This record gives sequence, C-alpha cells and structure tokens, in this order.
Amino acid sequence: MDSYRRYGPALLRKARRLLRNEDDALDAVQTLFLDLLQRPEPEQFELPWLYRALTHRCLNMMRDRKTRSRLLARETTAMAYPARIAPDVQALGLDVLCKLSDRVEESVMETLIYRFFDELGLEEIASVMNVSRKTVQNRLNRAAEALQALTPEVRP
Amino acid sequence: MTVSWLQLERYALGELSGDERSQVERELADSSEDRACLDAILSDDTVLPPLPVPLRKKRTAWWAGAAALAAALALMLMPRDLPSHRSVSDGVKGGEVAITLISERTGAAARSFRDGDRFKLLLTCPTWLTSRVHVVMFQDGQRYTPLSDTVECGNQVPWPGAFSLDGSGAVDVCVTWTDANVRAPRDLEPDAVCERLRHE
Repeated sequence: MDSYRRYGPALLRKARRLLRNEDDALDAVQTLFLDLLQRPEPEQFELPWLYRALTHRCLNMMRDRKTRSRLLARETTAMAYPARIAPDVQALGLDVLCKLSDRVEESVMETLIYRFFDELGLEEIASVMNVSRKTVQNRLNRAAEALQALTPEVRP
Repeated sequence: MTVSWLQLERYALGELSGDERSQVERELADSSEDRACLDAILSDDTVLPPLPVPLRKKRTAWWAGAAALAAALALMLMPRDLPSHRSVSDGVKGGEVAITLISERTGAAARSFRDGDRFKLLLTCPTWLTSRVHVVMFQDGQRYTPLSDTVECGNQVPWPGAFSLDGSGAVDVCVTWTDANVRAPRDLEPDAVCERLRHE
C-alpha cells in the first residue's frame, strides 16, 4: 500500500507523541492501514485525513479500559517531545488525557490533541476538522475548563 | 508562530504548495525550535515493518447467496426443538473461527519463525463471541499469554499488539473461548482454533 510506505513514518511519529510507547504506536498505525485495506475500493489517502483517522484510533485506545491500563503501564516519558506552544502542556501526560477523555466529548479531545500534541494552529485545525475557527476556540475553552477541574496546575 | 508537525511532515514529503512552502521556509529561518523539529523528522530513520496483508475475501456469486437463502428457509421450516440460548461450545462450527498469523518480517501469512520474529494475529470470528475469545500459546510444554485483551469479532480483525518468538520448539498459537488455563493445545479442544509455527 503506497500510503503506508509514504505516510507510515509520519503517522508513527504522531502516534509516539500521543501514546508514548513504540509498540502501541506501531500497532495503532498498522491497524489503521489494515482497516483501510479492507475497504472494498482501494483509495489513496492524504496525510491530513490520515492524521485525523489516527487521532480517532488513539482516542479509542485511551477510552478502552483494558487498552488504557496497558498504555499507562508502557508510557515512556523519554518519548515526550519539546512542546513549542505551551511548556505547561508537558504535564498533559497520558494519564491526564485518559481521564479527560472520560469527561469531554470526542470532538473536544480531538481538538486538544491537534493543538497541543500536533501543534496545529487554529486555522489549520478548523481546516482539518472542517469547522469554523470559532468552534475550534470554543472546544479548546471547554478542554481548558475540564483540564483545570481535573488538574488545577495545568493551564493550556 | 510555530509550524505544526503536520506542516513539517508535509514539507519534508514535498507536499506543500509553493506559497505554503515559502511560508514554512520563512518560519524555519526565524525559529531554531522549528528547525530542530524538522531535523528530528529528517533524521528519524525508523523503517516500518511490512504491513501484514490479510487475505482478500472471495467475492460470493449471486447463486451462492440464493442457495444459502434457500438452505436457511429450509432450516426454518424444519420442525425441531431450538435451544433457548446459544452455548459457546455447541455453537462454533468449523470455519467460523479462523486465525492468520502474519510475520512482520515477510509481511505474509507464516507457518514458521526465526528467532526474534514478530507476528500479528488476524482473527475471524462470529460477533456473538466478541469479548469471549483470548489468545494462548504453547511451546515446549509451557503456556504463554503474550497478547492480553480481547477483540470485537469480525472478519480478519487485527488483534491489538503483536508478539515475538524465539526458542527452537514449535509454537502453537491458539484462540480459544474456554478456560485457557491448560497445559497443552489438545486440552482446549473443541473450543479453540490453533496454528502451529515451526522454527526455521
């Protein structure tokens, strides 16, 4: 599959930033492409679309209780990355993200991940998610409120 | 302003338009952090293992569907006592549950392994077995459960995670829907499907 060879490494880097362990990051990328292979008509996928599909897959992994406990056990802080937008976001570990995913809707989690893990600008998020910039800002505000309730020290 | 990881990845792949590319290059010229992130992308020499390729489902001819429908109707018309609920051990017939072991080294279904080979397991099972199946492996009289969790059943569903093999003995990889606390694959019968991988 051409998309796997071309975009697989970029997606693996994204999954590493989010899941912070190599095995689950690789698993997330491979199962994404395996599912795409099962589609009746072969398609070519672009990176922004694949970024979004992978984000949903990682969020599902965090929500699933059994997978979550494995992710938390395997989390490697060495895979944390230099946060260029807000240094405080380093405190956004997997544990906090998992708890947050129980409290806010998927679209808010998705927006949060684009902003603080993929470091997309508001316009870029709006384009990827096909919503307005105002909607993106509202979702980030909701994420910030939920985060402050969860961990008062984290203020994205 | 910061160049997003997505933009940096697309820049590295040469996928940005002329304007977008110029914009990214201006940002890179001004920001050592952005340049460091781009360097991290360019210097990442991770090679992904081949994608395990599941077997394609055969296309079913229209007459096969019609025959199946006729058979189903005939069964419905036959007088018989039906069980009030389905028992796991009674319900799974040959072929309903199948496993395929995909070697990440070759990217294809495997019957053997070399030391350190990594495998993914693809499972086909009926939906009513969802969350009731688990994986257990046997090698040299020992029992292993390297893959935790269970899966939503379906057609060629990738099991979460992967497992590596070493040692010289053949390995029996079984998916079972019974108590897996046994010492040999035969103890799982008939509530299991197993594949044997021999050492190369």
